[in-house]
Formats: sequence, structure tokens, C-alpha cells
Amino acid sequence: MSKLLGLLMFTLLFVAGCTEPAEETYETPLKEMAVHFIDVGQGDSIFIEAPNGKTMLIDGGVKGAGKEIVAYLKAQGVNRLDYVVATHPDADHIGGLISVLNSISIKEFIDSGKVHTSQTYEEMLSLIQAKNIKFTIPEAGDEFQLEDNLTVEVLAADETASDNNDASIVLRAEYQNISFLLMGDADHGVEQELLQNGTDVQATILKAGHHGSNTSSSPKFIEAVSPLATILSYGQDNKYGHPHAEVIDILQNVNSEIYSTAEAGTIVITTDGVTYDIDAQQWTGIGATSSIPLPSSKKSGKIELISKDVHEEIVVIQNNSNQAVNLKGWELISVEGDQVFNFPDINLAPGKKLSITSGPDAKTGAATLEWSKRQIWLNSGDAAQLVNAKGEVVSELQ
Amino acid sequence: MNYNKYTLDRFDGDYAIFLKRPEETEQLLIHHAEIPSELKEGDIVNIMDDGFEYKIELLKEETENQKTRVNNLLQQLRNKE
Repeated sequence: MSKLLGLLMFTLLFVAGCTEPAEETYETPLKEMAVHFIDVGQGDSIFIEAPNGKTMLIDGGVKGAGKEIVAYLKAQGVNRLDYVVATHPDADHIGGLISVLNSISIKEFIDSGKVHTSQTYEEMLSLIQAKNIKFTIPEAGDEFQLEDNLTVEVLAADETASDNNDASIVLRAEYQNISFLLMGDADHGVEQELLQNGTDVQATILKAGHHGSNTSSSPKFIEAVSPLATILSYGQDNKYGHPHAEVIDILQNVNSEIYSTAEAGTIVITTDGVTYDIDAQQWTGIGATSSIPLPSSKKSGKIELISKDVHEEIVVIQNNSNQAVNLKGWELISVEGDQVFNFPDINLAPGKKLSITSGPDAKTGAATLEWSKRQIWLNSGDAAQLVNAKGEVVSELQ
Repeated sequence: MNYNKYTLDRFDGDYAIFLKRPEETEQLLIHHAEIPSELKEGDIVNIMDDGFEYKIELLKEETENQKTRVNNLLQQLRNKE
């Protein structure tokens, strides 16, 4: 998508090359390398493939994503990983590495050294030990050489950080003119430190910190990075509101293109060190809301589910018949969690809507009923069913 | 009443993310307003769900034991470096 930039750089360097001795040979395209931002839902998993076949996997999403990552890597012909990096021990980064450790041989494992009490972290360390894999806790300034022209530098790492996110290993991969800054979940504090230390954070491609959360990507930092394209790795309809609107604004202010794994699925960026190509459509933000209108084909019942917002935890039903309906004996079902809300003995007038609320803000009021103070609708795959007093499903919303 | 054991994996935005031990494939999100304020990342807890609200009990000793165990494991790996 962005061959243009490379051509521009090529031209500039070519012109510069006319007046100066040819010490820089950056205009020469190299063999193609690839960086894969694997779609693991709400989490991170990044795979770097050098032209010589050397590989690095950075994070593995949640535990449930592990099998998919292994299948993806095997489909790429990967039988061995030279480096696996666990940026920090949160489950949405290390969970899937358990499957990877069990299925693919690993030469060196790079860990933040930040201890976590989760069984997942313990299992990860146990597997590294049992398989006798070289284990490294890196420091800022360390480098991992995938091949002559492809270096992955550790910009930040802090095993003593009080917060797991701030322990994140921050990496910058450079392949001639094209660079990738991979932030893990590093927060504003880490960004500020990098700027204060005068670390070179400029990058062609940025994997924004913490799934596009506003705890990362401060305006100053993003200006310093000045990415041409930014990848947001998050899951659709996540509970955290990622990516946050202010982060999108900050990225757009520096004219960065934006891509997300939530919308585009796995994103593969290929580069020859001069130009790069992103195999995805740009982020639109469409689909960020989960209030899905009922498909017209299902509009058969008199009382219908008309919307379900998993963020606000509000489900709305409407009486589309011409007479009042008593809801005694009716049920609203969260299919995934098999949770059932029993409607009270109330009449719903023709044309009227009724909201069923859950979560901390749930309340009973005008045209609103409280189901529970708990979260009911956990994810986008959680279908809602409306069941009448006869036990028939009269309306369903995915 | 039914208790299940969880690890408080992390905080993110308004939520605390608990993982159900031992597999930790199942996660439970609870709004931070609904959990005791002293809970920290890495705490191992019992959570009782009575269908209306969560009752959360910190397992101090188990948390400490797990920390020691993981620290030892990490130390062994470090020494091999």
C-alpha cells in the first residue's frame, strides 16, 4: 500500500548520492523479509521472518489462541523458532506461548524477568526448563541479529517495574531504511523514559502500545516515532474500549496510516529494506459498536430484541404488535453464559421499548429493568435469545 | 455456595481480569468498583458467585507460596544463562 514512500526515499537518496561519496548503499533493495501481526483477538502476537529463514515470535496472545498461532506458523513452513520473546507476563501476551513451546522447537527464549503468580507463567518457565531452551533476560541496548542487515534492538526492559505493563520488553527491528517499533504494553512512563534517554524511537511502522489504550501513545512520543503506519492489535468488542479515540486522534495528527488486527485479521508487512507493502485494508472504526440491528428476516415475533450493546450492557426489546403484551414468564437468555433473566409481571404497550441492563451501571427505572450488577454480556459471540411464556424462542440477536 | 480459585492476572481500564485456575483458559472480568481495593496483580483469590454479586477472598499464603515457587524457577533459569 505504501510503495510510494520507499520510492520517495529512493529518489532522495539517489539525488544525495550524486553529491556525496557512495558510503550509504541504502538504496539497494534487499531480499524480502516479513513481519506478521497475527490476529489473536484481544492480545498480541508478532512473527518476524528474515530472508535467510531466521525467525522471531514476539508474544502469543491468550492461551486459547495458542493452537491457531502454531497452525499459522506451521502453514508458513516454520518448524523452528530462533527467538521467542515474552514481552511481559500478562496472559494476553504469554498464554498462547504454552502451545508454541509444546509444538515448535525454540532456540532461545527471551523473557522480561518480571515474575507473575499465574499458573500460565509458571507453566511457561517449567516448559523452558524441561526443554532446556536457552533463557535470556535482556537489558536495554541488547541486540538480536537475525541476519547482517536485520537487527532487533531492545529499547526498554525493566524486570523491577512495579507494573507488569511497564516491564514490557520494547523492541525496534531495523532492515535498512524500514524499521518496526514494537511497544508491547509499555505505558506513558516507559515512553517518557525513552525520550529522556534520547533513544532513537523513530520507526516506519509502529505496533502501538497496549492495544491502542490511552495509557500508551502520548502525543510527544508518537511525534518522535512519526510512524507512517501504525498497527493496533486488539479484539473486536473488547471490554476495555480499545482502541481509545484519543489514540486514534494522536496517530491521525502525525498522518500515520492505521491498521488493526480486529478489522483486517492477520496483517502481513513485507519489505525489501527500501519499500514496504502492507497486505490489509486501513482501519475504519466501523464495527467498533456492537449494537447490531436485527436482520429483517427474523422480524417475525411480536416482541423483538432490537439491540444489544455489550459495552454498556443494555439489551433493548420492543413490542412491534398492536396490543399490549404481558411479559410474565418470559425470559432473556445470554446463550454463551447460559444466564437467564426472568421478566417480572409487567405489560409492554404497543410500540414501546424496554431496556434490560446489567453491569455496574444497571438500574431499574422508566422503561428500564435491572438484570444484575454483574457483567452478563462478555463478548461479541454471546447471543441473546428472547423466550416467551410458552418457552418458544421469539427473537434472537447474535 | 460455590468457590472457584482465580489468579488476578492484571488490571485493564475499568476491569480486573481474573483467570480461573488451574487451566487459566477461562477469564472473569469484574469492574474494579466491585473488588476489594487492596487486591493487586498476582493475587490468588477465591471467588464466590451467588448469582447477584461476587464475594472475593484473598488467599495470602497461597499467593506467597506461588511467588516463592516461581521466583525459584526463574532463578534456576537465570543461573543457566
